[in-house]
This record gives sequence, C-alpha cells and structure tokens, in this order.
Amino acid sequence: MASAQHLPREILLLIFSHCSTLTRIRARSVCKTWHAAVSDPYLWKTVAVADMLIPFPAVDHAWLSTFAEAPYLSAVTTVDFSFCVAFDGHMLAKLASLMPRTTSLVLEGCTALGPSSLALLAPPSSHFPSLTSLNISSISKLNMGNETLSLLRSLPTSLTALDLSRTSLLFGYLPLAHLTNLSSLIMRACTSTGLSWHAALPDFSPDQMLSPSLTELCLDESRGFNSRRITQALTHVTALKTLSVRRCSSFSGTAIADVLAQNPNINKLVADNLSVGDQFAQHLAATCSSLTSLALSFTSVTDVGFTHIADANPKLRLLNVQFCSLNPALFSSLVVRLPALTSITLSRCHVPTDGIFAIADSCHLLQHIDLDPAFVEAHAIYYLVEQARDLVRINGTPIDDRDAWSIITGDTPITPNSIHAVRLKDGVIGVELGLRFPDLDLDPAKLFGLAPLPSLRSSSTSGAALPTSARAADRGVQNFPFRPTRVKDSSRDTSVVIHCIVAQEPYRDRAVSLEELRAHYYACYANAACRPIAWTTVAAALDDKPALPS
Amino acid sequence: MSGDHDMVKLISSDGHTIEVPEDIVRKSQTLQNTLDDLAKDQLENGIPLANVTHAILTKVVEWCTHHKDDPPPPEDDDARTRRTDDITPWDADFCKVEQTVLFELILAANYLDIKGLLDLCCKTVANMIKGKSPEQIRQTFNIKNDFTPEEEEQVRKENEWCEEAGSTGK
Repeated sequence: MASAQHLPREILLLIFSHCSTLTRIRARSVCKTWHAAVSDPYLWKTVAVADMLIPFPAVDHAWLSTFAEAPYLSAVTTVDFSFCVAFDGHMLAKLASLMPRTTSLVLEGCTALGPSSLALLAPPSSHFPSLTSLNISSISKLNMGNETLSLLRSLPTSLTALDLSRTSLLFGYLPLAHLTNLSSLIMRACTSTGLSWHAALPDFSPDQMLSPSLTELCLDESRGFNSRRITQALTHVTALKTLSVRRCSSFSGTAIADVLAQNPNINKLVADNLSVGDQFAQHLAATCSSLTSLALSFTSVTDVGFTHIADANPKLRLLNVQFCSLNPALFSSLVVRLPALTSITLSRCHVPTDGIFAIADSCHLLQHIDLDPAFVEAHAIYYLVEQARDLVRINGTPIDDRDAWSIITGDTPITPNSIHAVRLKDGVIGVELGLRFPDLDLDPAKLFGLAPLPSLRSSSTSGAALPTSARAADRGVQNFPFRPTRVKDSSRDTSVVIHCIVAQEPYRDRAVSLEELRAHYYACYANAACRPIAWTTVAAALDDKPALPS
Repeated sequence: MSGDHDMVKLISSDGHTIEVPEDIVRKSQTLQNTLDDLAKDQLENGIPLANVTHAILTKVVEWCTHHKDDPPPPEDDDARTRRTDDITPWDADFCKVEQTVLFELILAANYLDIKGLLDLCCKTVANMIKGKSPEQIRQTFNIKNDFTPEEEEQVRKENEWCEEAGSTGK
C-alpha cells in the first residue's frame, strides 16, 4: 500500500521540487524520511529570502550566521537577497565564502550596497568566480558617476545576464562592451531626471556598444535617453529574441522599427503604451515573421494593423491588445488568422458575441482569455468553455470553479480556500484569499502559512468583528495591505475574503506587468515588520501574462 | 515495425489483460522501449506489468488516452517549474481520487516513465502540502512523527534562518 511516508526518495524529491522554500522547511519537520529528502542538496540550488516570511530588515549579520549553519546549502547556485536593506559589503564577502559556487546573484534593492562594496564582484578580487547572472537593480547609489562607471567597466566578462533596473543609469551610455557573453540586459524604469551630473554624460565611444551575443533587452518604463544613442549602442546587435519597451517614452516608433529591421528573429515583443499605430504594425509585419508573443496594448494599432501582423506571424501564441480599437465587424476575421493562440487579452476591446464564437472555433489551444468587462451573451462563454479544452482562466480566475467567470457580471464569488488575482475598485490590483473555516477553531493565518495575525484569529471565532487596517496600524505595521472585505456566517461555516493589495496605484489606463506588481509588493514590505504572504504565492496567483488589465 | 493502430496486450499485476492502442502505449517511455526491443511474435502473449494493478492501469490508460495528442513535454523546464496552478480542469478532476490511489498512480507513472502524469500527480501532492504546518501535514497524510524531542529541537535549530521573526518571540 503506497503512503506518503514511504514513497521512494526520487519521488519525494520531485514532489518537493514543486514546493516553495517555506513549504519545504515545514515538510522537513514532518518525519525522518521527509527530513532526509528535503535536506538533499539537489533541492537547494536556489535560496531566496523572498520565498520566506522573514521581514526583509531582519536579514542582518546575526541572521547570516544562522543561515550559514543550515547543513544542506552546499550546492546552492542561485542566491536571492532582494530588498534585504541591511545587506552590506561585509555580508556580501561572507556570502561569497559560504557559497563560492554561486552563479546567479540577486541583490535587488540591497540599498546598503554601493559601487565600492560591489567592487568585490569584479576581478581580480572576484569573490564569486563562477558568476554568470547579476541583478543589482533598485540600488539608488548606482548612477552615472565615475565610481559606478568604473564598477561597470570591471564587471567580470563571464556575465551572461545583467539587471540594472530602477537605477539612475542611462541605456546607451554604459561601458559594457567588454561583456562579450552578455545575452540579457534588463534596464526597467531607469531615469536620469534631475541629476546634477546630467550635463557631463559621456560622449559616445566604442566601449558603449553592446556585444552581438545580446538576445534579450528590456527598457520598460525607462526615460531620459535618446533614440540615437540606443541605435548606436545596438550597432552590433542582430540576434535579439526578446525586446521589451513598454512605456519607454524616449524610444520612438521609428527607432524601434530600425531595431526590429536589424533583428528579424525577434519572437517576443512588448510594446504596450507607446504612441505607435498601424504604420508601425505594418512595418512589424514586414520585418518580423517569428513572433510568438506580442503585446501592443494601449497603442493606436487597430484591427488593420493586427491583421497584417497575424498574417506574417502564424505562430503567434500570446497576444495582448487591451484597449486597442478593434472593429467588432472585422473581429472574427482577425481571430481566424490566429490558430496557435494560447493566451489573448481583449479587455476593453468591446468584443462582440460572435467574436467569442469565432475564438471558440479557431483557437483550440487557448488557455487564458481576458475579456474584462465583457458585454457578450453568457451562452457564448459557455460555448467557449466547452470548445477550448485547455482553457484554465477567464479574466485571471481559474476556470475549474464554474462560478469563477461570474466575475464577468462584476460579482466576484467567494471561492473556498483559493488564492487568485482580482481587480478591485479604482484600478487597484490585489490577490484574493478565499478562506472558509468549517472548524471555527482553525486559525486562518496558520491555514495559509501566514504570519500569525491576532486580529484575524479573533474574527474567525466571532465571525463578526473584522480586523481593519486600523488594527494593523495598532501592531505598528505601516502600509499593511491586508484587508478582509466580506464575511458570510452560516450556522457552521465562516467565510472570509481577504484582499491582499499588491498595487495601490490606479492602473485604469495602462498595462501592468508582473514585474511592476512585484516592485509594488516589495515597496509595501521593504520596511515592514512582517509579510502576511510571500511574493512567490502572489506571483503564482497572478496570471503569467505580460500585462494584467486594471 | 508494426502499424499505427495495432493493439497491445498489457497484463496487470493481478492478472487482468487489457488491450490498448499502440500509440497510447507509446506514451510510456518504458513500454516504448519494450515495444522497440521485442519482436512482434514475442508480444503476442502480452506485456506483464509486475508493479501495476488493474485498477491503476485503467486510470493510467485513461490519462494517456486523454493526453494522446499532447506535444512531448519539454526536456528542460527549470524556468517556472514550481508553478502548481497550471493544472487543467480535466487533470484536476482526474486527480480527485483517494490518497492511496494517487500514490499508486505516482509509482506507476514513475515505473512506466510517463513524465506528464508523474508531474501532474506530484504537483497535486505538492498542492496538498502547501500552506500547512508540519502537524497538519502529518494529519493529512497520516504520517507518524518519528523524531525524538532532541532531534526535533535540532531540526528546529537548522530551520531557524527561515522562521518568521514574529513567531519565534523576537
């Protein structure tokens, strides 16, 4: 008879490989067999503070000493200390001695670090000799000053991925040419506005030209540089696969078109919120024929442009056309050109009912569809659910719960023991935790592996008094984004829906990326004394699409 | 080579024989190798499966039949491999079985080398573990706590770096 305790080790390892760090740590305390399996170095390639519920500021020298004693960390290759605000140069040096095999290092938002402490990474003193991936985003001390530029100049040539997002660095002005293996460069939300050294920007020189090895470039939300410098820096780059320039206002449509013409093998293009239209779309159709993923939401591209793109790119799997102006009469003829679609975002596109029938009949591989708000007749949705065998989500809500898409009518149901993304009023995006307590003594905080929340516990026993954000403030937690909104109290069950707000800025008129939500999440918790929910849980609840509708 | 729609006889550990179309049987890497290694006349009497009962074999065939047109699973899927919320409604329904059956399925999928089914069942178990305390996990899977108090203290110490500061009285 098979039981969980006596599964072969290889099976236990496979099961635990699908679990988060926190879950594994708990599983480790269950019994000796599980303890031995979870301690297998195979499972510990990655250690990420964000997976745990430790408050970020608590990761300090003392914590690092405890961490160093965990016996199963010898094989760690990916280390993620995002937003550990106390993480400084000494801790970096200690980490290097603990985990010299590290190949991927994430130091996002480690604001105690600066160019001088990061120089530990650079040869000849290089503390991480095998490093191939480095994320030093959201470190405000990185700017166009000489100290940072000389750090960049000395970064090890072994790097294949570099993330410099949310720094005061300018794309096109960085001495990165020596990184001849660089394949991915991410510079989200970089800006130079208001900085005094702006006048002294370096002139163009060959050491600012990026290596031909580059395949992924992301400049989402970045501002302050000019199109000419972008094209200069990309002179030798002809093998891009992924280009993401969402809301990158200083990148003109013409300049993007030039980059596309030079890189015809691009398969993923994210160009939301740009002032481009059908002319751009026609250019795109003329140069690119390998697109599998395309996001052009909040642009002026119409069904005319999309038809050209669809004809040239029959392998298109993921399409986001949110807020684009599509002619309802031509919608069906557009959809039949997209047989490979697995995900389509049509929010605010006024899709007609026969358009849903066309999607159901043409897109057999569809897994995700977003139609919020949908003004279509319900039987069309029923038909779609019947036809699209792989459909998992409608409007970001799991489809296996047949009530789920009543969200279309604006009535979000309480889903027992579920976690999923929701859009709240006023463009706020959050995660909904549907809790149901058949046993009133059960602590909902424990149920979800959340940090203990006394106020919640009292609500589950009384069923009446709801914890409010004011109560959270009593506990000294600032910006506590945890807000129960509904309680049903029948004779036996108590249900609570909690909205854990991830992003509070209204997103009514533009696309929101998972990355952006993540940044908001960290901003909420960077200095908080506790986190009720780990980011990995939030991320798993959110749809894995490039943009979420508001 | 045999034709596409030949039937293959499979004999379960409890002695039942079922006939399954060859393309379905080939979803199992193990059986695919057997089919390729043996001559046709050696297959006449059926392939015995010493570790799989009739009930479990029927479930496995049901899964393979539903997924017969799936593309082969990617070799290297380390990116986002931890997602456990991408289970299709059909698969979720398929996994709504007694725990012992689920574990038998895992063992069968492992033995027969059917990656998709193995992943599905492991994800399902992972979802059952998720968000529970060690004691709740023991209750869910009927596992006996075999640690001595000293060992338990040792494990707690080793896990200290991941415990929430709030709950350890800091």
